[in-house]
Amino acid sequence: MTINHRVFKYVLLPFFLVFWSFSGISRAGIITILPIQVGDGMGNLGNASQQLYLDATNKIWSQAGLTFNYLPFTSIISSDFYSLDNQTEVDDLFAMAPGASMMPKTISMWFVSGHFDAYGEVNSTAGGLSSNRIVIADSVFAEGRLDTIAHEVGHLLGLQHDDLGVETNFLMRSGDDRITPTLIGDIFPDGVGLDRLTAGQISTALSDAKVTAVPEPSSLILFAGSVGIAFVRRRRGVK
Amino acid sequence: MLSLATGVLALLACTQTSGPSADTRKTPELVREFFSPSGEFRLVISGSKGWLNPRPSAELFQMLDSGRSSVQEWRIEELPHRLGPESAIISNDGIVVLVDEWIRTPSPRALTVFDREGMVKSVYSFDEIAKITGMSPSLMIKSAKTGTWESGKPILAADSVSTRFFTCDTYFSLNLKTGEISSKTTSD
Repeated sequence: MTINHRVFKYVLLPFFLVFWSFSGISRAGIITILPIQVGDGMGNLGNASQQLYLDATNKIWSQAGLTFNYLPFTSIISSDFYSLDNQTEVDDLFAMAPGASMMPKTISMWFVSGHFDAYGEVNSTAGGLSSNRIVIADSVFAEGRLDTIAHEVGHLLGLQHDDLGVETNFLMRSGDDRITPTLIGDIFPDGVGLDRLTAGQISTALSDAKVTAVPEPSSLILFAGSVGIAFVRRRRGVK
Repeated sequence: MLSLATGVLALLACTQTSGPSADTRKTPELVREFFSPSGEFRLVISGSKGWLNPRPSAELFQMLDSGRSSVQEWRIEELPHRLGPESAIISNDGIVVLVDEWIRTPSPRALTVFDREGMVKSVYSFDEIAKITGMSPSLMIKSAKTGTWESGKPILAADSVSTRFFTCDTYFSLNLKTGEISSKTTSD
């Protein structure tokens, strides 16, 4: 066996297989969220029943290969932020960020009793931890708006209401005229196909720094197989 | 000049709304009224506490003495419709039809018919309307000009016996006496 053969067999081939398997990590990622309930100090909490609409959110974002990971609920007490009556209070909440996560990839999500004119809002200030903030109002749960959390996360991943191709059956359409699902079965690709994302939006969202890439199952299997082949070849070479 | 600038800033502060990264909540007026064509019946849909509770009440009144007085026919404390119906039709006989919910969704209550006593006579979901008309649900949504399936304004027949609804490029009729709907092929 020549030295070139050995180099190929024991170094280049395993390296190629491992590299090939990792190159298959293309469209899978995790979004991590810290849920923070805001209390009024009198025993009332935003999102008292701790709903997350996780199944709906995961189904919507499966179009981009994203899944959502919620950390355990935490809470803060603030009579000022319990109900957000104007934009100044919303901005103050985002600026002061009580109880927010310090992890750069973790989104802090405050649950409040009310927002003066929206189901939810994200901090539009770009940059660092300041752009990892979402507020969700109780009206989301009272009215069963399954897609608001997914919509707000879309904003944090760089998506806008007026992105090219966004119509009333798309996730990022504004809440005042978006057709929203009542049943998970109406979320794309099933039923009437609501909460769609455009290809451009998927590309934009996946390139955001808050998305933690994870290997897809097929990639993991390929990777494990590659390591196994390399190991067997090495063992045979020793004999 | 300074006071003018201050005034403008104060006005902006008063009129500020959530930013472009909010999921806007468009609520209807807290109190809405719908009348029968003759003006004899008045339906009042009332929300409360700035829509903190999304389930409004509904009251039907019969107008007397040329509208100078009225008598309550019935009252429903909480409608299941989120933020109330998208719209309502009242016949000259006092039959009430609630159309869709205010929030745009393929609703399980796309049409709700109440009899003169305020009892629910029939309810049709978005999916049932799709089945009856034979239309694709996706096409119904695409053609919707209001709500999630109406492609045109409904027409109440002159005799108040039926209402014609439009979706996609077809229509169907709702019989107000029986509460039953039929596609155009069987009603015409």
